[in-house]
Amino acid sequence: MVTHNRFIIVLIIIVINATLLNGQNIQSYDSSYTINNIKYLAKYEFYISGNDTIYDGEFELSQQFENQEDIHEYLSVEGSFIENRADENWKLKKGAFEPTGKGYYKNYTYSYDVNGHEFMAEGKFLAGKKTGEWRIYDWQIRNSKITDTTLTATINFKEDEAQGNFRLQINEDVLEGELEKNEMTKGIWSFYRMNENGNRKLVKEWVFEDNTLVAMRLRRNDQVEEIKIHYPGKNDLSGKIIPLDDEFLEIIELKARIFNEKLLEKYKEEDKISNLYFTLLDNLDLVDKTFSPITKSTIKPTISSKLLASNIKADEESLLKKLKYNYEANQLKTKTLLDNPQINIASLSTKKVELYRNVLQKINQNFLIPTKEILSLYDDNQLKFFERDELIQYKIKLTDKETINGLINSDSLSEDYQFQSDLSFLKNSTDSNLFKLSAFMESIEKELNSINENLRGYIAEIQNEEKLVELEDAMLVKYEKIKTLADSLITGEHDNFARIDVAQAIKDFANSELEIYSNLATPDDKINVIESLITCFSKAEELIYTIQKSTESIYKINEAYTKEVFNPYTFTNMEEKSKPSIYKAFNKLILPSIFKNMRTLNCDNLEAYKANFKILFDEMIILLNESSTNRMERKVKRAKTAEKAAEILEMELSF
Amino acid sequence: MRKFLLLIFLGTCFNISAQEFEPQVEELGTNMWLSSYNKFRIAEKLYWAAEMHYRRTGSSENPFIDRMAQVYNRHGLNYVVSPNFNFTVGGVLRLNFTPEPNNTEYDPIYIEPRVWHQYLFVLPFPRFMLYNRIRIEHRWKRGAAISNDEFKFGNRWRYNFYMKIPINGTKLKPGTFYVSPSMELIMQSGKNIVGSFVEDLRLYGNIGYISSPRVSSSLGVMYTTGQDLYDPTLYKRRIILRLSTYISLDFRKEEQKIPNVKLSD
Repeated sequence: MVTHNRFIIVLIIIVINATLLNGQNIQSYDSSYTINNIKYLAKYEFYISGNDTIYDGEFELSQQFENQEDIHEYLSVEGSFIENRADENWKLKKGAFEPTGKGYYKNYTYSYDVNGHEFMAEGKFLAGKKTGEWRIYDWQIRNSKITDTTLTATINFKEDEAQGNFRLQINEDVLEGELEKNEMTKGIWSFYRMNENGNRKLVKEWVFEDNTLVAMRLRRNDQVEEIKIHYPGKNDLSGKIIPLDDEFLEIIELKARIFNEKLLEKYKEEDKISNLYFTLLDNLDLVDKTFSPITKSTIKPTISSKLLASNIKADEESLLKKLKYNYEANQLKTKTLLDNPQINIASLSTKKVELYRNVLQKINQNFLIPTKEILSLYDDNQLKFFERDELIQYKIKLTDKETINGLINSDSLSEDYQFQSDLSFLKNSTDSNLFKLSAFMESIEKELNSINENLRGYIAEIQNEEKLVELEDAMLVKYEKIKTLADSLITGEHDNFARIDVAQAIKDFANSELEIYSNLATPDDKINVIESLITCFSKAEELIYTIQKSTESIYKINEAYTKEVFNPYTFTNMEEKSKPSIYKAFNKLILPSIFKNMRTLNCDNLEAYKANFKILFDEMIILLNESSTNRMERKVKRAKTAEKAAEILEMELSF
Repeated sequence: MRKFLLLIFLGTCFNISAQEFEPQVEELGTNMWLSSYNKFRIAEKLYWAAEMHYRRTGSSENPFIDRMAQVYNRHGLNYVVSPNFNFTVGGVLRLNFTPEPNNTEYDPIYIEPRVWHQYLFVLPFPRFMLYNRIRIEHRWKRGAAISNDEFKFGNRWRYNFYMKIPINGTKLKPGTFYVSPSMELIMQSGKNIVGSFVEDLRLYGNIGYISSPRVSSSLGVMYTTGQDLYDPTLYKRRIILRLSTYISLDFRKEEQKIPNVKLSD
């Protein structure tokens, strides 16, 4: 009875559920559909639950358009959902084609063959999770037929994770590998090359042990070369998970180079394994771009690997910080010196400057740039993956001073250059290379200071020479100006007052000073005097202007000392000089003498000789207005020389 | 104006030559005049004119300087109306020395006072100066005899035409030598003047030097002729050597005459 009742209850529940399910009211949608601002045509089944649209049933999405180059592009997605979760088979097609040939009529439609390519991805979901094998193809299409498969990839999924084998073939290159739980690298990843007969040949292998890349094997002509990634026997290493991306490959590349530089160079051309890997990821990305907005799931796995690492210790941190500080200071100094336009220009003409510039470049190239690379690894938290001593030794050969000098002496220009600082610490085998590098960076600082000092000396010398040239140009301009001014501003009128050729006297002075300057033996002698000579010539210009204007003053004094007296016998006005003896001393003795001074003009007396004019003219007016000059007038009558007259008249003139 | 004065001068000459007499001519006398002409400026346009002549007369034995003839003091106030015209008013005290020193009937020295006024017209030319001077003197004159001669009032009418022509330049200015031709006609009138109206005709040539606006000097020879006071037909004649100095001083209060001059270089 109980069993019967229970059966009836279950039946009722099933009926009610069925009724409810019918009440979900599955609808179809067949119209435009926008994903990430791109419009598609969509056809799918769904029902509404609350405010949500729940996909349930078949799902189709397509898009076709003609691009600017008249090429038809298309995309289509086919799959199905169960209650909003992708389920069963899904297929993505994406391609581009253009019509070819004349076209043909078939099934009441006019058709064309097409050329182009098609990308296809297909795989299976189970309740929204990727599962089983996913396949990716890229075909070339000619006359509507697949002529070439340029890409084939398969990747296995389990519980939505890439797990198990994967394979990728692009043209003749094949990559096969394996992933395990958490999408970690596993086993041996092999790189093959297909020949024309379809036989494949193993070229390279990545060997993962415990998810960690431990070696790379290179095969050529049946020989196997193994590239070590680590030195064996290091006990303090532990595996650190790291995404298998560009950064990982860079680390691997560097690690491989540290131990196998020559070998790696030898097989450089074979190193396409990373290209293939990234091509696979790119294609999975392409699928995700369209799939993931719909399926809420990504195909591209987050593949990770492990690398052995040794954490940076406290003493290493301290050395690295010091190294970084010194490096930045040295780098700035080097850049400043190398970018200095004066040094660059001077290096073209001065051998020593060229040498120091070359040494700076070598220091930058051989020591600073490698140090920067090491510090970049430190900044990017990658240094822990490297054995520091080996890395530094690989980047910079910190063996001894001879090695350092050898790097600098690598060309004829700097072949004799010797590092100035003491580098004996490089030979101390008990110190780590990081310690040596840090100490070496300090030595470089001293070296840069020494080079800087030397360069400054040369530059100062060059600047002095350049300055001398500029000053000489300026001085010659002044010299020419003196001659021009003398010829144009000093006239025969001045000569009449002076009773000499004043302009010629001043030109003779300029010539004489220039000759003295020219006869100086060294540039140093010249640089010491040229500025004062320019100043002297400037003052000579002022003297010329003073002389030019002196006529005006002379006439003013003449006028001031001249009074008109009415003669009551002739009944005419007659001119008469006030204080005639003073005026006569001025006119006959002193004025000609201060002009004649020009014949003994030099840079030492120029200022005084120029001042004479102003003193004389001012004093003459003072004397004119002074009432008690009778005694002076009597005495000056007897004066025979300008010096005596000036003394009597209390004028401080220079002769 | 200059043409007008020239006509008067020529007209006068014609009148003189028109007086036809049977003239008798005295023997040529010689004199020497040392003259000091002074003018002291006492106001902007007013001068004190002070002249002194020391005159000697010659004899046959001792021409030009034989004995004293006159000492002559002329003073006046000269008002310069303009550079072209001025006039002077003043007095003269002339001391005449006896013509016969040993004659006791003659006063050894006797005076001849005058009041005078003159009008001087100045005509400037580009290269010389021309002067027309009219001088009128009112004098009280007597002879040398102690007992008989009394002072008799008379007038002198003088017209002097002279020029000053610079030699070493174009202007009369300090340092200039000049030549000065001069002609003066002296007429006289008065109760005692009967027929002898032409007292003197003086033709004078001198060379002067202007050493400063205040000091000049000249040296010249003057020929004079005129009617004898008592015998109009008798003409006296003299050659006179003249040495003159011309001094002009400014007696005004000294004042600042020189403007300040600003010099700049």
